[in-house]
Amino acid sequence: MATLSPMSARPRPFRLEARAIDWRLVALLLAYPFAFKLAHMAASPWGGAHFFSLWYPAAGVRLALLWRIGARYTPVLIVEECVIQLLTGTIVWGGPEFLNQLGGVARAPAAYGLMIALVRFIERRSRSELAIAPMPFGLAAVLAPTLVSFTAGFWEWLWPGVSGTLPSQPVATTIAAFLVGDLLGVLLVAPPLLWIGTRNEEARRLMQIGRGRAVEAAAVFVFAWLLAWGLARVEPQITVTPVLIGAIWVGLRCGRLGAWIAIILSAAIILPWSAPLSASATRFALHMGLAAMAIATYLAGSFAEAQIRAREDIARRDRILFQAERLKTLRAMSVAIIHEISQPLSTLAIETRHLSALSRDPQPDLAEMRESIELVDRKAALLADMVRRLRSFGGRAVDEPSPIIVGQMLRDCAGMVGGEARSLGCAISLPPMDARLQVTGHEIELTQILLNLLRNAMLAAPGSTIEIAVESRADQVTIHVANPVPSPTPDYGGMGIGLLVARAIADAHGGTLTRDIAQGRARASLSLPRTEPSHD
Amino acid sequence: MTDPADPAIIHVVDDDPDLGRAVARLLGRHGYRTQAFDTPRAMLRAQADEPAHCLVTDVMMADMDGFAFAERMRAQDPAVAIIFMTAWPTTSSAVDSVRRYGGLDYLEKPIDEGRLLAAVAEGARWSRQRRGALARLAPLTPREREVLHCLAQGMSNKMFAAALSLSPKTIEDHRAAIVAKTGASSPAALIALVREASGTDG
Repeated sequence: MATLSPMSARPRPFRLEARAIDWRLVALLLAYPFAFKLAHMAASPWGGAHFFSLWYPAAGVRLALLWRIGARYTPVLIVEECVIQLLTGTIVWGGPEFLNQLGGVARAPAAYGLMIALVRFIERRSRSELAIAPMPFGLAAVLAPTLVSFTAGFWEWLWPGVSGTLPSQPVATTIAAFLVGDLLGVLLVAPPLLWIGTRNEEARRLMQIGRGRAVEAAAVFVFAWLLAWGLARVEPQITVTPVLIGAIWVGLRCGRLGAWIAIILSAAIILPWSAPLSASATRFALHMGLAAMAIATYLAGSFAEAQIRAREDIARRDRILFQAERLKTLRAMSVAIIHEISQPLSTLAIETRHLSALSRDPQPDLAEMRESIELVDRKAALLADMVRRLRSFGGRAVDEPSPIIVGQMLRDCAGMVGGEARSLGCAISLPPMDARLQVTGHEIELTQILLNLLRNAMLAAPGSTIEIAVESRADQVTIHVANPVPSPTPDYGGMGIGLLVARAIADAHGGTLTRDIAQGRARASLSLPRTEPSHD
Repeated sequence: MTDPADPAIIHVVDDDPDLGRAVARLLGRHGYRTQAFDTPRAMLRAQADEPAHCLVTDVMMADMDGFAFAERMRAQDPAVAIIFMTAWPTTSSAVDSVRRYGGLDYLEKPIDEGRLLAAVAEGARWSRQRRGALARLAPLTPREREVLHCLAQGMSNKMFAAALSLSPKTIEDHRAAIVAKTGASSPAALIALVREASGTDG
């Protein structure tokens, strides 16, 4: 057993179930040789004199399995591939080139295992964008066939097998044929095999394609193929170029699933078409075009998904930011309410003491008592009123628009920034206001805007008087927050994050938030639709 | 607590008139002469006519905030004791109220009656003392004040003769004048008087 170095990332605690047999894994490993052999045989129509096949689906099966279960099972796959090839007579026990052939079979899974281990290592260690899914899989899907084709090419060059014609064949051709075959096999077969097994909800969600987009992508793709068909009648080798572009479009619009469908449809056209062709140059060109198309299309698909994910991420962060701002405002508002409540409560406490002192008096001053009782009554009514307001504050009503008295809201806001105003040496002037002036909206959000405007004004002009003014028209209420600007300062036009949120809130309320600088004063104006107070 | 024949004068300022009057009435029941004001400006005007001993003021008021008010008050009358009350207590303003604005106490609303009464009693006593001391020092000339200041620091005649570059004879004359004007005969009584006048006693 290896000793755990302190650097090892996560020492796995010993768990009993870790020792239990994973039947899924066993089933996969048992099924693998048969799946491999079937896929291997499916490749034979595209074989040639100097290469096994220009499309090799068995490579896709192998890559998918190793990617899923991990590169540490590579030795098992090597043994399985050798055994199945022996049993089916592809290599003959004790034949003239037995060891060479056995090595030829074993080198492919070995190279795949090595490359997958390497990619997985990079995925764990690297912080670059290469380590973000689905990039690692893409790397493995391209690099594993590359490694195996070069291994095979040099192997054949150093140790030619039975085929006597090979020495006359350039190594490059062998490598290229091997590469194209494996690449196509991997790109066409491995992704759907992995998708079948995936339980990743997010991946499944990202793979959904909207109907409109599907129709649009299909139209582009069909048009590309019609163009290709026209071209193929002239010169078959340049055929796939329009399809390449069409498929990339499909990937960009429909993500990886769309990309795969475009690739598999193209393969379904190109492969049967190339199988009976005798000119290997044409076949090569077609298959290489298909491989290039597969890579480019997957990249486009992955890019589209990454874009969706990034956009969702930004939206989520926006929501969090918004929520945080809101909580901050809510906190300030509850402090304001405590302030407001403690005022009448103080009076109540003093007056009840006073009353109890009066009641102990043998000859109480009845007029004074009555006065006190009236005061208690008035304060109790005021408190009851506040509690009603509070109730609308904490409950569900907080998320529903409600009528808001503009004057009350402004007084609350001025109170909330009172502490900051003092420390900045600012005074806030609040004119007397018509108590019937109302708007409808979310109190917290509108308060948030006003707090923002007041704070900005104070920060822009410390030590000055911030003037709040209210202008009302038949259908609109405009609240102005103005501060003097020291001599001509350029208006940068920029708004802080807070103000961006503020503007969004104003928009959502059917209002506007504007700023202007004139005659040495900077003024922010929040206009909101006016609502008539109900008369109940 | 307070002499019924000569009650201490307490002014209460709060922009909530009901609360201001309730506090004033409460203090009135405890034998003070009280008056409630809605705004600091009104109180400052009244202070000129009949100086209060103790001022109980809200911190957050629309017109002028309690701290600015306290500064104005101090400039106008250094012998008034100031007690702050607030519905929005914060640590920083509590510290500021005592250290920067010379408040005697910082009370949270709803108000603790016992604490308010204790603070007002202390404030009234302090204010009377200081006012008395200032009144006794008022007839002194500037030079005599300097001499008194040196005396209060415990310097010998010779030392402060050198510090003020005066002859010991002149110092003696000043000293006699100070004793005559303030009625404090011993050096200890003089030191106590200076401390009371500076508001550091009590």
